[in-house]
Amino acid sequence: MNHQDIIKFLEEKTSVAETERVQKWLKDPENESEVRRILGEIWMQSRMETSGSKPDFEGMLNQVHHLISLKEQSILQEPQPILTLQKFYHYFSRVAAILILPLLLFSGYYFIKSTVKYNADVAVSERIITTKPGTRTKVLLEDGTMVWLNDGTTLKYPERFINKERHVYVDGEAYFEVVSNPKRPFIVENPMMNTRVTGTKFNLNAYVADNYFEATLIEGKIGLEKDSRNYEIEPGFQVQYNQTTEKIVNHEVNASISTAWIDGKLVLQNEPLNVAIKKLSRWYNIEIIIQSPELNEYLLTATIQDEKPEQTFKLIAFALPIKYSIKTTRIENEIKRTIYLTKK
Amino acid sequence: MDEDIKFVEALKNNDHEAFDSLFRKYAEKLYLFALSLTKEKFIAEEIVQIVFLKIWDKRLQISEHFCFKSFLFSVAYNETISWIRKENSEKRKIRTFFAITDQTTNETEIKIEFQNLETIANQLIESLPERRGKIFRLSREQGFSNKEIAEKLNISVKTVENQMTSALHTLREALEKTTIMGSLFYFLFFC
Repeated sequence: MNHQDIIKFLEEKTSVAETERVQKWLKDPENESEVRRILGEIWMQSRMETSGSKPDFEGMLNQVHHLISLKEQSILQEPQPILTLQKFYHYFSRVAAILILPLLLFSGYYFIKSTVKYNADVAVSERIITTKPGTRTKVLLEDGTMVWLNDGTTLKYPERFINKERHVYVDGEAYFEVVSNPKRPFIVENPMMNTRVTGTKFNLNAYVADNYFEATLIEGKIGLEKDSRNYEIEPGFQVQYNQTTEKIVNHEVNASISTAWIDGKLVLQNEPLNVAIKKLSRWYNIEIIIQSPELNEYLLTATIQDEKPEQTFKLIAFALPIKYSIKTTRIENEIKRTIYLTKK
Repeated sequence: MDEDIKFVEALKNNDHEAFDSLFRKYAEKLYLFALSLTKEKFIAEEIVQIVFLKIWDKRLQISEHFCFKSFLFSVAYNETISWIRKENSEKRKIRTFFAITDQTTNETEIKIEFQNLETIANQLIESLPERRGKIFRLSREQGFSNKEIAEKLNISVKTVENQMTSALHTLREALEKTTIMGSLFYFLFFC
């Protein structure tokens, strides 16, 4: 196979038999290096002219932008391989049909992740993210910085960092892995204290409602600013600031403990349902009762991370022939919820 | 490729404008390449989008010292060749059948011409007035500085500079008329 044969094929000037021969040659993985070499040379050394009608390239560019922002948003919703059974993927790919349609052939990789939308209450307009109580999420910023948000946390961030300094706002608890850029300091604003970093891993616990601010440095360097005062922390140290007493404490800690909430996971692997129920019950602090004894032997494989009980059980009911119902009872001003599982 | 180096640097700083510029520069070439291999317009369009999506994803991994054009090829090649390998053999049989009975399954005909850039470039340089062409070759092909050329040919540096400017101007005009993507100097074709 030589250049000329291939160019003839590319220009649609080959006979049916020749076309088939080239296509066969292209398809055969054994020819990989030869195919790559010849096509590469043609790519680099040729100018391509066409007399046909051209597609709408600006439209394609817009579509690419759209895909890029969809992909970035999908980072907000943790990719959750919650249940390993086929039904789960099928359900969610049906929900995402509208998104998948324009990219029929290449959709799988890009859209399965973006369909799981229930973990965080995401108000993406003006790039404000607030996680609901009991849920966590993760955000990828335009510069590559990763931010993990604990529950009940608000993060305000720009779609793009256009100024010299990179500014975001946090009210709540967040763990940052900031992409290093000494020329562009990264500043986390909070009513109690501002945190200035260049390239760092640190955890911030600063719920305004709590009047308590805590910054733990895992790696790198950060500076805290309050009014006109500055404090610098070393890795492995934590600063605590009490807004009410106005006291500041800087002490050494086991930094990894401050971020344990990030990995909070419940892993079930081929767990008989009656055992799985015990674990889920402790995890959610909710009573779960199996009413049909046949269900006890069903095996469940799942990883629970940020899901609320209703969501987890919805998925379990998809994977196994189970119906669930939630009953709420009031006992002395306390609300108690119980989940009942029956065979479908 | 100076231009591409600047674009890639900016792209690595998450500059969307640079990304757009690279797209506008290379999308058509990519489209035609994918189209001539897959013979399907819809697929070629998808490949363009997927490839650039991947370029954005991998932007931090591109080295400014790489030739962007060849990096683009790697991504495009992988995407296109996987499609070709996965393509349903049923479709091919149908297309072959129709080709034999003189009907086409594509809505409109694809007509793409591949021209070897080196050949074009050489022809263009040949068409320059003799001394200008000589000076141009000494500069771009052999890498002599304007001063060295002036010494070699026993003329002033200013003359060399003027001749070069003229040559570049001629080449740029000729290329702009015939190239889809605007001004591409032959010495920029290769990386």
